[in-house]
Amino acid sequence: MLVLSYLLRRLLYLFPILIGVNLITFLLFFLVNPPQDQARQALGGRNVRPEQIAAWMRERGYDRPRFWNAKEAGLKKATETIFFEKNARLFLLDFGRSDVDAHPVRTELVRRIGPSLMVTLPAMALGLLLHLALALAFARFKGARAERGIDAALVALMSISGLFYIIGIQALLGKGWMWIPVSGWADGLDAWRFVIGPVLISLVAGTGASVRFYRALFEEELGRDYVRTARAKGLPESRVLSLHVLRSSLVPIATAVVAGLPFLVMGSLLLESFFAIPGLGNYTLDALNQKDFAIVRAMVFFGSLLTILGLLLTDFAYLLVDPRIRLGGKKAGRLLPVWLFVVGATLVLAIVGHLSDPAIRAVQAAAPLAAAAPATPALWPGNLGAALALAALILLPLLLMRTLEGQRLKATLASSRLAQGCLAVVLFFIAIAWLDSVRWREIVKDSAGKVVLDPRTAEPARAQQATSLLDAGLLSAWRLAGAPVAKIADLSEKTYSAPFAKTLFVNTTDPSTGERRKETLKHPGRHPMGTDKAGSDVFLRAVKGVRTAVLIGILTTLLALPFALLLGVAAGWYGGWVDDLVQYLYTLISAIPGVLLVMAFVLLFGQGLWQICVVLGLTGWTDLCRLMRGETLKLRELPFIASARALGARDARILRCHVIPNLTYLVLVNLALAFSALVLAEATLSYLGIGVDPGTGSWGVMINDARLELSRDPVVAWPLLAAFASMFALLLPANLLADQIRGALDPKSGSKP
Amino acid sequence: MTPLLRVEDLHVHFRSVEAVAGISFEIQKGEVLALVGESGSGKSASALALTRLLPERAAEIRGRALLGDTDLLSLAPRDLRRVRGGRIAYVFQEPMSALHPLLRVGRQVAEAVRQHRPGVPAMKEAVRLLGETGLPDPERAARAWPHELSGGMQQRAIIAMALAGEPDLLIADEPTTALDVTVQAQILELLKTERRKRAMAVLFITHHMALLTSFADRIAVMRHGKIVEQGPFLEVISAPKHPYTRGLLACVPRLGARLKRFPTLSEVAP
Repeated sequence: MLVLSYLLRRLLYLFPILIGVNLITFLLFFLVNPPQDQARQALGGRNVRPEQIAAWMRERGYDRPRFWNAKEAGLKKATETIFFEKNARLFLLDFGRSDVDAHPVRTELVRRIGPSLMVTLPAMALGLLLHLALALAFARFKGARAERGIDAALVALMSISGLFYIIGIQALLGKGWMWIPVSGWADGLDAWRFVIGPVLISLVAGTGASVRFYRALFEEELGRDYVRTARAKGLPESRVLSLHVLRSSLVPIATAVVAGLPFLVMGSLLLESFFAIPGLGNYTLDALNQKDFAIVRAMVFFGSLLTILGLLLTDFAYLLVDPRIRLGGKKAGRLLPVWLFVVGATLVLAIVGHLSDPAIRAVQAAAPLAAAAPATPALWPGNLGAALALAALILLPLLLMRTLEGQRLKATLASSRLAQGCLAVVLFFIAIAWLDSVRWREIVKDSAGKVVLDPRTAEPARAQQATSLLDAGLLSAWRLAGAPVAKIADLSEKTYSAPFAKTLFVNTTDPSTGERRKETLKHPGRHPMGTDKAGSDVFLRAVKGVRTAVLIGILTTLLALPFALLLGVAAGWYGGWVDDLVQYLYTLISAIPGVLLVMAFVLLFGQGLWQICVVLGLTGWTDLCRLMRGETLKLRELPFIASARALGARDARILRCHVIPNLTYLVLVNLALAFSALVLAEATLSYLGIGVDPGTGSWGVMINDARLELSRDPVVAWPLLAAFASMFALLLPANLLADQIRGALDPKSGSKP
Repeated sequence: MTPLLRVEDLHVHFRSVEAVAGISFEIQKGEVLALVGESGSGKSASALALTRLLPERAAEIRGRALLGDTDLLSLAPRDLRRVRGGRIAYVFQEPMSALHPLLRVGRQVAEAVRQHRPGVPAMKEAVRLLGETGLPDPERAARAWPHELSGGMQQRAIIAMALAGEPDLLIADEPTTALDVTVQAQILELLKTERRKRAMAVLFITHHMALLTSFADRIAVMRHGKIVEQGPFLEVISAPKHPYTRGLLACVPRLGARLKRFPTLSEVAP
C-alpha cells in the first residue's frame, strides 16, 4: 500500500514534466517556427507559391488554428486545433503520420525498437561487466607506480572521439581482415553477425570514461571504515572487493545504468548510421535529413517519456539496493507550485498562440521569408565570442585566486610539470582560436591593384569571406616558404595530393597522346598534410577547426553560466517555491534527450556555431544549475554565513561576497570537465550534419568529408588522420589538465600523489 | 614469561611525516595496557600498524612486532589474515561507519565466525555473541540493518564481531569516544566482563586516562610518536615521572577543585 501511494505521488510529480516537454515541443515546433515556414522549407525554399504552402498544410492537418477553433461547434472548438490534434494526442502515444510520406509513425517506431535493442542491450550488459571488472582490478593499484600509466592510458582512450573507434574498427575488422560484415542487417536472430561490430565498438569506445568512473567509485569505497573492519576481520582481499566494495557501490552504478534507459531504446545514432542498422537511431536521422518534423516531434516526446520512466525506475532501484532509503520523505516533491506553473504556462502559451495566429499570417503575407542564405561569416559574433571567452578566461582565475581553492590550484600547477605542460598546450590552442576570431573583410582589389567599388553603395567592396589574423599569419608563412599566394583560396590545389607530394593524386590522361601522367601541384611540397578531395590544404582545414572546437568547448559553459548561477543560487538560497520551480525546470530540460534537443533546434533554427553553443549550453545548463544549487544549500548552513548575517550584512551582500566566490571553483571544475565532452559532441554533431554549418571549419565536417575516401584505392587516410590527430592533441592535455584541476580544487578528493 | 605481544622499535612513516618514531612495549597474556596521548600522538597508527591495516602504499612500517615468536610485520598475507580477527581483533571509534551499511548485522558477525571458526554454525553463533554482548533480542538485532541500531548497540555488535574469532588480544581504539557517557560506562563494563571471561589481553587506546581506573594494569603515555613513560597504571597515575604525564594529569578537571583558569598542556609541559 505504501508502495502504491508513493508511486502515485511520484507520477503526480513526473507528469507535469511530461506536460512541460509537450509544451516545449509545441513552442518550438508551432510557435517559433510555424508550419508555414516548415512548409516552405519542405517544399524547397524561395520560389514557393502561397497555394502550394496552403495545400501542403491542408494535407497534413496544419491548417487548423493553433488553440481555439472559433468556426467549429461545441467540443470541436478545442479539438479541431493543432494543439489537440498534433500535440495533445502525443499523450495517448498517437504519433500521427509522417510529414514526408504519411506513414503511421507509431507502427514504424515499434518495428524499429527491436534492431536498436539488439545492439544496445548486449553492449550495455557486456560493457557493464567488462568495465566493472577492469575498474575493480585497477582500483587495487592506487598509489603504485603502475597507476600513473594506467590512468594515462585511460585518459588517452577517453580523448579519442567515438568516430575514430567506429571508423577504425569498421575499416580494420570489416574491410581489412573481413571478420565482420561492414554493414547491413538480417531479420530475426540471424542479425547476430551484424551486431558484433557495433557491440565491440561500444565496449571499446566507452572503456576510458566508464572505467575511470567506476574506479573512482571503488577507490572511494576502499577508503571507508567498514572496508577496514572487513580487513581487520581477516577476510581475504578478494572477498572484500567482491562483496563489501561492490555492494556499496551499487547505488551509483544502478543510477548510471538506469539513466541509460533512453539510449537503450532509442539506439545509437552513430552506430546505426555507420552500420546501416534499421533501428530508431537511423529513423530519427533520416527524419532529420528529410526535414520530417512530425517524426522528430514524436521522437522528442518519446525520448522524454523514456527519460521520465528512467527516473521512476531509479527511485525503485534505490529502494531495492539501499535499505537506508525510505519511501516518501522529501523526494516526492511539493506538487502544488509545479502544477500551478504548468497550468499557467499552458494558458500563457494558449493566449500567445491564439493571438499570434492572425499576426503571423499578416507578417507572412507581407514579407517573403528570407531563405537560409549561405552563412557569410559575420564579423561581430565571431569577434564577440572570442572577446567573451578571453575575458572569462582572465576573470575567472582572478576571481578564483581570492579563495582558498585558488591558492591550492596555484600550488598544484606550480609543482607539477605535467600540469604546466598541459596548460601550455591548451593555452596554445586557445591562442590559435583567438587569432582566428579576429576577423575582417578585405577590400577587394582587381588585378591591377585598384580598389573595386560596390555598384550598389559606391563604397569599396569587401570580400565575401572574412580573413582572420590566423589566415594572415599562415599566408605569410606560406609566402616565406616560397609559394606566391595572395588569399587563402590561392592555397588550394585541384584535388587530392599526399603529404609533401609534388604531384596530384589523380592520373590524367593527355588527350592528344593518350599518355597517363601525373599533374604537378601548384605549390609542390608545401602541403604538410596533403590536400583533400576539393584540393584544400588539410593542415589549413585542421587549423581552422580549432576555433570551432575551442569556442564551443568554452563558450557553451560560459553562456550557460549566468543562468545557472542565477537560478541555482536562488533555488539554494531562498528554497521554498523558488526551489521547486527551478528543480522542475532543470528536470524538464534534462528529460529531453540531448541529441534530440539539438536536432530539433537545428531543424528549426538552422546550423551554425552560435546555435550549437546555445543548445549545448541549454543541455549543459542543467548540470551546472544542479551543482550551484547543491553547493549553495551547503554553504547556507556554514557558520561564516551566519556570522555575516549576525554582523548585519544584507542578503545581496552575503551572496555577492561570500557565496558566489566560493562557487567559482565549481565553475572552473565544470568548465574543465565539460570541455572535452563538448568538443567531442561538436565533432559528432557536425559529422551527423546537425552541427555547425559546413562552411565553418570543423573537425567533424572534415571527418564527414573524409570518411568515404577510405574505400578508395589507394586509401586516402590523411584528412581523417589529421582531424583525429588535432582532436587528440587538444583533448589529451585538456583532459589531463582537467584531472589536475579537479584534484586540486575538489575538497573531497584530497591531495593527489 | 614470554609476553603475548612484544613491540620493538616500531616506526611508521607517512610520506614525509613520522607518525610513530620508535616505540617499544610489551603486553602479557590477559593484561590490559592503556595507550594514552593527545590526538596526533601516533596511538592509532601504532595499533593499526601491528596487523598492517594502514593504507598499503602510503605507510612505511619498520621494526618488529612479535606475537609469541612470529614477527607480524614480516608475515605473508595468508598468515596475516589468520592473525587478523583470529588472534588480534579490533574495535574502532565510530561504530556507525565501521559497520557495512548495506549488510545485515548478523551477517557481518557471522562472516567473522565463518572466517576463523569453520565448522561452527555461523549464524547461530553470531546470534549468541550478540546476546553475550548485551543486545536485547539478539535474533532481531541480527536481522537488523546497522542504521536501525543505536550507537551503543552498534558498538556492542562490533565487539561481538571482534570476539567472534576468539582473539588473544583485543585492540580497542577509543571505542567509547563517540558515545554518550552512560553508554560509555556500559561498554566499558562489557569489555571488563569479556576480558575476565576469556582471559583476553586488551590494548586500550584513549585520550581519557581516568576512564581506565580499575581496568588497566599498565599504562604507556605517547607524545609526538614516542612513548615518554610507561609502567603500572596506578603508579604512573599517582606519581608521574615525566613532565608531560604530569601535564596530562593536571589537565583533567577535578570535582571540587578551585581554579581561576584551567591549565593547558603548553603551559604545564612545554
